[in-house]
Amino acid sequence: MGEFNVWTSLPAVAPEIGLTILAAVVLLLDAYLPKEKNRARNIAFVSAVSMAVLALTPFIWAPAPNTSELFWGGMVRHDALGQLFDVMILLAGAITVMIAVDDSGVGRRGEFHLIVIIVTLGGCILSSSADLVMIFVALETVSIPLYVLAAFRREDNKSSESGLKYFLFGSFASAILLYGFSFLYGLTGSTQLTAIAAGLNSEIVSGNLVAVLAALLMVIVGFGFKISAVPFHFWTPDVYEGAPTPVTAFVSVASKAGSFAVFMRFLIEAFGLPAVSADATSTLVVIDGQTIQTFWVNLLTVFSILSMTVGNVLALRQKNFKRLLAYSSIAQAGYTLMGLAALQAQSAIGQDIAMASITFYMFMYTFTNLVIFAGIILFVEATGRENIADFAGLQRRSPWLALAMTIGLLSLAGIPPAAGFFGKLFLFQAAVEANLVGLAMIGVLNAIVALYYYLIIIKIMYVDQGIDEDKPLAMPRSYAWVLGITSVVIIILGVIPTPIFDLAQQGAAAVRLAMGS
Amino acid sequence: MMVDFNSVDFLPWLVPVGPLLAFLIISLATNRAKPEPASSLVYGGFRPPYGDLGVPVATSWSRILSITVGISGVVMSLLVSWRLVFTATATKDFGEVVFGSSVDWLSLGSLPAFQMGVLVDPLNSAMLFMVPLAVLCIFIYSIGYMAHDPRQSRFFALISLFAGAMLTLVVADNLLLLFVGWEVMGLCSYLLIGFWYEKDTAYKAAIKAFTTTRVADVLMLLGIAYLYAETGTLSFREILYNPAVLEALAGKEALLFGGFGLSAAGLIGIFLVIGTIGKSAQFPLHLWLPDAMQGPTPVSAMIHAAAMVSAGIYAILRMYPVFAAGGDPHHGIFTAPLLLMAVVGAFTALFAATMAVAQNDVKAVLAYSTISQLGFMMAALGIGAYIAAAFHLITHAFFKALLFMASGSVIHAMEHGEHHAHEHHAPAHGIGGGADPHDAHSHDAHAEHGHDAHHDAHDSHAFDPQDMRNMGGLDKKIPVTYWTFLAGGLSLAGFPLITAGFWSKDEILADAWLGTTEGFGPHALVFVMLAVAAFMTAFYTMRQIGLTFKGEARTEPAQHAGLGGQYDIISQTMQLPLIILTPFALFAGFVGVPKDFPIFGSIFASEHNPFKYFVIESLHPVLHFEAPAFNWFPVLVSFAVALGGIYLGYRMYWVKPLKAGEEDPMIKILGGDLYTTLQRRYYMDELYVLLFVQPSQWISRQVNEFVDKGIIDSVLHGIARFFTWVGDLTKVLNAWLIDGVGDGIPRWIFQAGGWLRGAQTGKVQQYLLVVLIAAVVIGVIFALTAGAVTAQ
Amino acid sequence: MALEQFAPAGVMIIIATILAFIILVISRIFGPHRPTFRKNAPYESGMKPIGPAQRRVPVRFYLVAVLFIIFDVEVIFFLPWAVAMRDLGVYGLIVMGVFTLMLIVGFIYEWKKGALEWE
Repeated sequence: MGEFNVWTSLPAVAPEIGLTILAAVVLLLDAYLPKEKNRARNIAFVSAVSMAVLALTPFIWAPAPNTSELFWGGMVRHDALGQLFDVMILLAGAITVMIAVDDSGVGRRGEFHLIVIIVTLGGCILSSSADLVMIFVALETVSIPLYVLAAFRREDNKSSESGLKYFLFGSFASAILLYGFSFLYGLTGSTQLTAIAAGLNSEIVSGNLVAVLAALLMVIVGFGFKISAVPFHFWTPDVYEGAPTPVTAFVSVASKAGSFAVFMRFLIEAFGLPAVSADATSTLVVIDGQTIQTFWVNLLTVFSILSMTVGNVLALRQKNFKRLLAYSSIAQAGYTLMGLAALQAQSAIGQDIAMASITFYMFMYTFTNLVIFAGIILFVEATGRENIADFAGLQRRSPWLALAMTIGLLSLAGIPPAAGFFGKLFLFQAAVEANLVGLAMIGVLNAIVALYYYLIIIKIMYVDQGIDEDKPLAMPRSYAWVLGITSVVIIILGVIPTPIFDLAQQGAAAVRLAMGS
Repeated sequence: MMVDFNSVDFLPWLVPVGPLLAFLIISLATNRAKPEPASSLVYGGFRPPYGDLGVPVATSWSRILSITVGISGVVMSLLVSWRLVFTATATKDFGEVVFGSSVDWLSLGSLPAFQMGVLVDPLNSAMLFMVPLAVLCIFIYSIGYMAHDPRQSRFFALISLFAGAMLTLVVADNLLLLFVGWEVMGLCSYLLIGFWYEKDTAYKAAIKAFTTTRVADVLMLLGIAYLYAETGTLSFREILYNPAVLEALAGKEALLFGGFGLSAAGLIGIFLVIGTIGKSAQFPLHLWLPDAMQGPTPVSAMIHAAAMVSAGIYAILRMYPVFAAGGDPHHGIFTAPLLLMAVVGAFTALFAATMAVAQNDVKAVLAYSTISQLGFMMAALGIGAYIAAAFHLITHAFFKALLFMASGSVIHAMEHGEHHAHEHHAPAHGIGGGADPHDAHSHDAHAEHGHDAHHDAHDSHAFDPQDMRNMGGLDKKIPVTYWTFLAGGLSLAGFPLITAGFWSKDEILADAWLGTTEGFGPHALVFVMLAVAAFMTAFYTMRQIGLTFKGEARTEPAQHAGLGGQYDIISQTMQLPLIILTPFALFAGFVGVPKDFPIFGSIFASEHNPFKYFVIESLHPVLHFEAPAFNWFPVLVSFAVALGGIYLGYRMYWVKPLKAGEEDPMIKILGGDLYTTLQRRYYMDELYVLLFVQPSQWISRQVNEFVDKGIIDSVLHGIARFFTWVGDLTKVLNAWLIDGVGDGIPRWIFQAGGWLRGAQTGKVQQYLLVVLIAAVVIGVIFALTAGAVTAQ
Repeated sequence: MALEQFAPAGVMIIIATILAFIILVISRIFGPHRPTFRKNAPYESGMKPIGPAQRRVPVRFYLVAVLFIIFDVEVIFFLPWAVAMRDLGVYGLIVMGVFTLMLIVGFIYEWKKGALEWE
């Protein structure tokens, strides 16, 4: 940390600054726009366009220097990895706002868009945090507005229940997480992640292995909640089902992406990475002759297997589309955890791929999930039903909608040419690089199981006879744009994944080098 | 500090311990005791027959316990104190050598720790002789006096605390501990004056006493704080025996009014004097003391003689070098506090004496005489008559305690007589068939109040057992009381040569005269005013005795008055203290006879004035008093005023005693207006009501009207009304909210729980439980693997 | 970490707990318990109680409380800044200005939305 300089520090938080201004503008718009029919729609457009434009800042105004430097008093990093997460969260926010526009009771109220902006802001900070305090503040900035959003449809009991449950679980997780953080702070006397690593490696902590493990356990439990890994997943189906659908969409991508980003950073920066070659130095934290990484890698491997299996198996039995997506998202978290476990790779390329694969997976998952949820919102808004069986004959009612959803589902299932294929491929590759072949095998098996229920839905949409097939579904222009863009992005990512993946790999290398290994 | 019970340096700590312990034990042990039921056997309108030993002095264990413990505590103090006093008198050069020890009490960082300690020097050994003795008498007296009160144990607890506080104050070696004792006494006086709190006048008097003394106490505390700020210590010896400190204080300009030439010592002194003016009931803060007789009579004795008011004078005596710092009253150099004391004291002495002349209440006369006598002491201190003031403080305590208890005895006798008279009438009522409404009333009143409240209950009869006009001829009914009262009264009047009061007053006048001859104004003022006051003192004392005891009984109760039989315990416990105190009231003065006094000097002071020689050692290092040469003039004046007053009173009230229905001859002499003015205490109460009470009430009322009611209330009411309106308006919404959401969510969750069985029960608690179990399992695995690897 | 350093604090806590316990027990044992209606009544600064203390409070108070907290925090934040204003210089002023601006925007919002009105 050199001398603090405001001007050099500003690019590190460029999207955040933009989002803050945007939030203020939206607030004033909401307060001052005259009451007319298109009021909320206008606000939504302003929000969505602004967020989409902000997603460009990393490429235009503030490209990442990829240095080990910390900004804003050691609070945030400024690297490509963080920026990629920023971009996906910003786009997720923009898309959510767009798909919420016509959702009755949600998008028609100006403050909805405002809250989405604030969640986005929190997510952006989260993805590049480098300090326990910042992590926690950002995490709460993401979580608390999401509780509000989950309960946004006040008159709907399910929505209220969902909000309450989400709040209970979320605050429980936050508390545990904070407790773990306080252990780390108490042991090392620092809240800054790299300083914690240094502190843990020094003499003062020796003999306190159990305390460090307790801290690790609590942090993992806390993040496990946020990314809904088994066995901390219980809130997911209830909240996904009860919350307003745009909110569900947003929770499933923004919160998860941000949490993964910071979880990854935390594990790397606080507990170190193995040496990439014989002559390189290892940054691993070793206490009383024991490498902490061993513990969390083993634990996350178990969690990964559990999440994939439990998520997929339970998804098989679901009739409600949103619930199915909830279990699906648990399974997806399981796949992603595989990438975290792969961080034990002892080669530079292995570690880079592990990080990059997580980033890429989250990137494509954002678009994939959002396209499906956009379809669900559109459908539910028109018909009022959200069971899978109700989607029968969708192809006849709205061929473009069916196509977009099919692309999304294929992506989730991991079938080319959709982006999901490469997402899974990179993850398995990372696992193999890290000598986790068994884990990769289990992942493949699970992908096959998952294929079943995803394809079932496609079958229902295209083959099955629906009750009111003769009634075509109208597609509002905003939804058409969203569905179109996201579908195209999924296909592009599925055909040429390398630009994004390379970027992610560069970012990963920067993170690795910043660690000094 | 070594805990060594044989060391006289340690013993002072034990002086206040007895009563304080007694307070603790009594209040803790008897608090749960059920109060005596107000059955007709004990109270029911008829006193239990006196005459034999069947009087329920202690009808329950709590009474016995409180009396035993209370008396034991005081006896312990008495023994310890007297041991100290006798050791002190036997010690050579006592004064330079003192008894005492201290402990580090409050560590003050870089400053030296605040020392809390005790000290016995000549001055307070005199107090230690007087206080426990007087207190013990009062305690014994209270056994009988409070025998019928349902709250006797409470009384003993409080009066023990009172005594403990006074003794703490006496043995304190620093101003802070003194102030602690001072304040605890303030509290006790409040609690005890308001002991019969059911009585309106009693609790009002309690509040009056408390608030009046509080006003003064706050200023006194200010003085203490200022002293501490200036000197960094509050220890008497460090301040008083340190001429350098005194000089520095006297030389420094005061924080306030420094521009008028007031020194720091002067300002501190003025603050302390104001504290004493409050505590010792000097003008203009004297109003609480006459009202304080609303408490039980032993309390009056305690306040007027042994403890409370003495404490004020004692504090000044204790701090005297500070007041005198920078001045020398013996050479006509007065400091501001000394002048203040001289003027206030002399004025109060005369002023209170004039009021005493016109009082008809037997206790009120004594109350005003206390104020007046305290004025004597104050004035004496003001003119530098340090020894004389201390001397008068001691003698006054003895004879005033005696007088108060004797007057209590008189009141008791009158009440007794009234009951007797009542009993004679009762059958007539009974036969007449009409229930006496007064009876029903008095039952309650008795149950709660005991005796003094009695006259309240009898208001309908317009009979006041304290009113001297209702008495007369009591000398034959209660002879012991009469003779002891007479002894105390003569001492108060300053009957020459044989009474203690004469010697102490004479000494004050002698000192004043000495200054007058040298041409000092304040001395002359004090001399003249005190002489007149002494004359009036003698007169009103004789008037009181004459009205009370002489002539024929003027009312029926007075005819039947009596303390009960010779063997009655109440009668005995109430007379024993009188008999104990009488010799002290008469002969205590002989310890302070001046050496040059003809005949008496050679008998009692063959070498020097013993009391003076003893006490003066307290101030040994800083002040020196030369004994005033014997002068006939003040002695003759003393003779004249005392005998003159006594003779006048004798002529007016003894030779021609008041007859039933006759008017007080005073009214004729003074004229109705002046008499009423005196009796109404110069309308001071009314003046204070006009000056302080009414304005503050007016302000409160205005605040109440305009701020509270007008602004705050209207706003609050407005808001309240608004909410009521909103509440009505949204009742439907509320009902919907409560039913829909408040009840709906739990119901829905419950139903959801029914639907979603299996792992996904929908119950947050179960989810979290699973999470918890998982976390524990992982933790155990972690711990095991960590242990296993470490073990390798 | 030398846990022994906290021993005095631990002793303090233990003593305080025991003392509180002892005081309660003593007053239980020795204190008189003669409850009357007056003694049991809630003391409201000498005013006569006009109703039960547990009443439903309009949910709007919650809003007021939240608003209060926001401005409360603002003041807490302002104060140390004001103390250290000279040291922080222009940077501090700008940062504080940004903070205040955000707050003002929020304030305008809640004002316009009617959060400050009762109905």
